[in-house]
Amino acid sequence: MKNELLRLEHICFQYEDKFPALKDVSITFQKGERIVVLGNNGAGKSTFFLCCNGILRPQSGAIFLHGQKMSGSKEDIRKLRQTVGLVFQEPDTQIIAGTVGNEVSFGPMNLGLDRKEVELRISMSLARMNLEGYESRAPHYLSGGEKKRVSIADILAMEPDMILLDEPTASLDPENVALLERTLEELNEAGITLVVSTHDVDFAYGFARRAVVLSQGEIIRDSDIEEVFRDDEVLEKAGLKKPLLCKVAEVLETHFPEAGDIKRPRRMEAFSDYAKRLLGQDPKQACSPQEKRTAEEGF
Amino acid sequence: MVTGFLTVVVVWCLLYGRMPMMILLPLCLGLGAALPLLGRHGSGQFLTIDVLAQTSRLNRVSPLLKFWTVLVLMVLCVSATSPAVGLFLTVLMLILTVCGGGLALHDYIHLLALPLSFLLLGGLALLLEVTAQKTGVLGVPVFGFWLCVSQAAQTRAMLVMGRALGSLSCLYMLSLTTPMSDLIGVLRRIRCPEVLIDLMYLIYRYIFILLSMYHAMRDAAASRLGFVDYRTGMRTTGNLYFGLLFRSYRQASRNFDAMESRCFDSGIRFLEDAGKMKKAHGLASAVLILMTLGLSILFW
Repeated sequence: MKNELLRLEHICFQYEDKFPALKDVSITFQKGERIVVLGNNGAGKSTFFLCCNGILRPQSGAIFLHGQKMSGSKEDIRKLRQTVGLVFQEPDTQIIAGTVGNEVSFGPMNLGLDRKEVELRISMSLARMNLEGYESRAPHYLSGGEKKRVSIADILAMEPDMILLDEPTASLDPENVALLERTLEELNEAGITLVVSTHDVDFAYGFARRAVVLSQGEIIRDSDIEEVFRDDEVLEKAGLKKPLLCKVAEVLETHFPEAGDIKRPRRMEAFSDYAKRLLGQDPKQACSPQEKRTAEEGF
Repeated sequence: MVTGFLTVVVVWCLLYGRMPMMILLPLCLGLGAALPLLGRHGSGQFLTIDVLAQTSRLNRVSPLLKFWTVLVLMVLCVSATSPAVGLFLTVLMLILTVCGGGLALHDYIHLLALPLSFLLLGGLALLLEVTAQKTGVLGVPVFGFWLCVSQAAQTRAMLVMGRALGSLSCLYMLSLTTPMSDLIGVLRRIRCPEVLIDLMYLIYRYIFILLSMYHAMRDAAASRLGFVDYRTGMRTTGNLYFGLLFRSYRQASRNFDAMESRCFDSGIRFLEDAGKMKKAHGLASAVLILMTLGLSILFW
């Protein structure tokens, strides 16, 4: 396929003397996609990411980058790591330098770029993450949200085609989650493929088009996110809950048979349109803002 | 407080017989009182130096220039034959760090108090001699012996303490105005072995990671009454350190993964400041060096 970016074929991975962490995983990521990887703790999400990035070597199976099979050679691994960036769950795992500028320069310097190019990339990725003027700040005096942005800037500076984010919303407050959502939106619009692992089904529902469900090291579902959240069997097996908006739509669909024809809203912003179409009138006129808020919260 | 008392004793012994009592007494008491009064209490954290260096106004001055200037000044200070050079540098560095760098005076004095107390103790040992009979300018009888201060000892102690105080102030100026990563950058540029540099970068970073890990674990233990009495406290501390060791191993392997994922192969490389030195800064440091040199020749 022309737009294929990364393909995994029959990947198996096992940690020393443990049950297999990944069992026969096959998946293809296309250019420009935004995907969530769902699954409970220990489902193999992090292992999966570490394999995609070439940190862990799978015992069997093959990885293809742009349709080209990756051998275990140094060259190939380097190419894989540069093209597929990985943002770790804990920013402190990733940050090693004493200043933000140095930190962001680590990746580009490892790529062996010249000084000018490195400087350019530092300022570009810091600007994208709203971190202008942070070059000489020390990472250990930054807030959690700022550290997260630094860890993403780290990867952006390597100019990857695809970024894997391991539980990016895990330690962020709601304001920073909203900021992250906007940032991811922008990155995706700039053509970067995003794969995000998360527990936060509401975030996932609003963010992604495609969902991959992992359970005990196996992909048990890989399809449109709408279909995944309609599949109760898969959700139960993977220990996942339904997003709030999904539940709301389900309740409405049982009461209004015609609701099944309208596309389900995935974000709160889209919900108002949904309600308008369903009820045939503008909800703003139908009830006062306060009532609307309680109605939204009540679901 | 202890440092203040020490200051009074040492300055008294140092200058006794060299100036009229009317000046010596207020000088001693004044210096002794200045330390506890001006110093800040209670904020005794060893990480303060790092915070202060981050916020210093002088941290934009080329670290390489600062490093060499301080080195030259220290050599001049140690090789001088008069304590005046040391005292001059002490005052100069205080002015530079406090007025130039924007550091609060009481923070500076608070930080200086600890090494100063060691210095004063050392000075006291140099001053006092135990003799059978009273000699020198000052003598106190102790258990049938005399603790005496001779003029020669005064001169010697003054010189040694002047040199030590001057060099100490120079180093304080450097470390209070230069963030650690800049200092490591300087060491790399003067060709320190790569392994050492890499280790320094990592150690510096991990001090903060391990410390926050330790604080979190200690607080968690304290909230479960882990330090309720001495015995429990000892046991908890043991467990805490074991846990810290275990967790730092795991953290290290995760960190290495993260470094590898950014194409790390061998040697940590960061983009270091080209360190363009401003002419004014270079000129200022040249003036400093010349002034110190002139002073040490004058008092030779």
